[in-house]
Amino acid sequence: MKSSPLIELTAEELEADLSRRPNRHRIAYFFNQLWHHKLPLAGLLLVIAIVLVNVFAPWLAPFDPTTQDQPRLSRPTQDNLMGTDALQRDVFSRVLFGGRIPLIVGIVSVLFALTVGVLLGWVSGFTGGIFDRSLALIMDAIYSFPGLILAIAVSAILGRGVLPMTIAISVVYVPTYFRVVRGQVFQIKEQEYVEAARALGSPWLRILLRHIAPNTMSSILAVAPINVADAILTEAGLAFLGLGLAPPTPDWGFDISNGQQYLLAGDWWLVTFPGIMIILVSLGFGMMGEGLSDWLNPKRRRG
Amino acid sequence: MKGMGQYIITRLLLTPVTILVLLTFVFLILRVIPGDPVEALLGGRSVPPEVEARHRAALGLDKPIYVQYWDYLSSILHGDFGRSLIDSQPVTTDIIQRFPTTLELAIFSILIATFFGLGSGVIAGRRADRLADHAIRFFNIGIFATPIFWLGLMMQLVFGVWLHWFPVTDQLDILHKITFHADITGLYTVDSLIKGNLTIFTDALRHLVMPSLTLGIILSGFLGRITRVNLMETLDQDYIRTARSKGLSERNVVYKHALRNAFIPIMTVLGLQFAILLGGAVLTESVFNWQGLGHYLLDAITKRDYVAIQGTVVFIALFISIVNFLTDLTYSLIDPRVKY
Repeated sequence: MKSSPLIELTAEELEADLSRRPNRHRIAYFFNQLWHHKLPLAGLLLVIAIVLVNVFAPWLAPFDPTTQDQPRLSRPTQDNLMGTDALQRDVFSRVLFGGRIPLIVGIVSVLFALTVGVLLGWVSGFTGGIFDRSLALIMDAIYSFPGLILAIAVSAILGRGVLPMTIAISVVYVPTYFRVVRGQVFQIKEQEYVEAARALGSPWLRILLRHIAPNTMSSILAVAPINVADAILTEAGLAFLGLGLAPPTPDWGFDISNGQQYLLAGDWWLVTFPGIMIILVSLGFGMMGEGLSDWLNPKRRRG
Repeated sequence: MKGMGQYIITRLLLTPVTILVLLTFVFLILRVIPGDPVEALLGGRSVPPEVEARHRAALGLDKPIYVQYWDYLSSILHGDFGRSLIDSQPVTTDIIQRFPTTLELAIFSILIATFFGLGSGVIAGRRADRLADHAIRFFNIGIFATPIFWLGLMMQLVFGVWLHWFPVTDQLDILHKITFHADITGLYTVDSLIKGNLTIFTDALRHLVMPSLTLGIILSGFLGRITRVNLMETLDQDYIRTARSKGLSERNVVYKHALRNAFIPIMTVLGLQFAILLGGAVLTESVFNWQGLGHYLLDAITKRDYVAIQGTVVFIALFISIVNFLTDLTYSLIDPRVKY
């Protein structure tokens, strides 16, 4: 489910504008735009709300998410707001806890992919030559491969668990950061101020870290939230296919998979509620990313 | 100036390199990452060492890694993806048998995605920043956030369980499946038409509606965004202003002048679209119990059939590379300005 169309459209045009705009005004400008664009703010609030719900789930949940002491397959009632499952557990309580793994896996895998991809992109773009071209070829090949199937294959080898799942998903996103960063390094290293630094005899590491790397950070900022949304969807997909977790872990995707067999009998609540939570959280990250890339890309900024 | 021919040759040469990279990557993932296929196959059971050695030899795992790599590449080159660890069937045969199912789903999903994606993209792009545009943009973000398997399950619930409009799972009714064999192309819709069996054709279509809508709607969000942005950018161009000022009708301007040009950048992302499509197909097949390639892959994973897993992944890699090559080619044929 690798779909970062939002970024795909904008990445190339980002840097040209950013290098023109003075750094000092950028923060003020950001907040100005933030208020004008309520979308990313709404996204941020949504994400914060869902994170808080999951953090404070032990206090918010009316029942323990794994204890089997409720009625079996009960429709939503006053006691069980979202009904109960076949193993006599409260769905509402499971939904409150069920975002912990998706959020952790989504955020950590993107951070991991970001670190690896950005470092490789900096070095590759800066050094150039045969090393760069081979690495780019490898990254392009991985990038062209279906992300979900890649994650499925890796997690099939690594086995179940949160860490294997995180690694499997992060493999998918390394090429994204590599491509974005490498492209920008190519542009920036031809600029006059880099030339000037080189003429003054700065060591290459200093040029890379002081003059080139900071200017690539902004576009990474726009890519990251959308990737987190995508990573959460991939996690949900893996969990749904039964590749991620072991019972009785509460997890939205996993719970949907467990509720699937009761859907045909009309027991809709087992599948519906965890799914809505997945939509809300990826919507939140998606809107954040959308706003950020709008802000970073003047061509798409309107009004 | 490099010509068209040279571009095609460059692409032709680059495609095998990409394929080689992907094949190597698959090999590395399956062989080098900790976790021994044989141990996994035995599932923790303790067996006599000679049995384990026999398994190891059957997989070729007793040979040095570079010999394994060479064997792996040369057998793929011969179209031999090995034999399944479970039932000793050639994996190639299994894949060829399963692929039409995935292909049928893919073709109908693309049709639906193109219809909705291009349609909504054109409406939104023409009315930038108006209500329809905002509504479509929001809808597209919503689609982006929706897990494909959840959309499929909701369709089953609403149109299958509640309304009884469409069958919930499978490709054909069970009775039809016994009597009808799609043995020409493997696609039920096509084969039933060739054989002139309209009952089967309608049944196959009815079974296709929900899976292909699920996958198609998810894909249309992506296509819609790209269409919208590209159409908006094209409509800002000078030649569009010229076309408008010489009094051409808006319909003429949008469809004849703008959309054709906007379509060129849309073409470039179709390859990427295919990757998303195949990933989504795995989930869709799982929800609707279609016995396609995705189902085969998941089956292989459950049974720890490493040869089958490898075969499927390699097949997908080959398929994606070929699709990307064809996309590039079409792209350069459509746009006469493309000269590499």
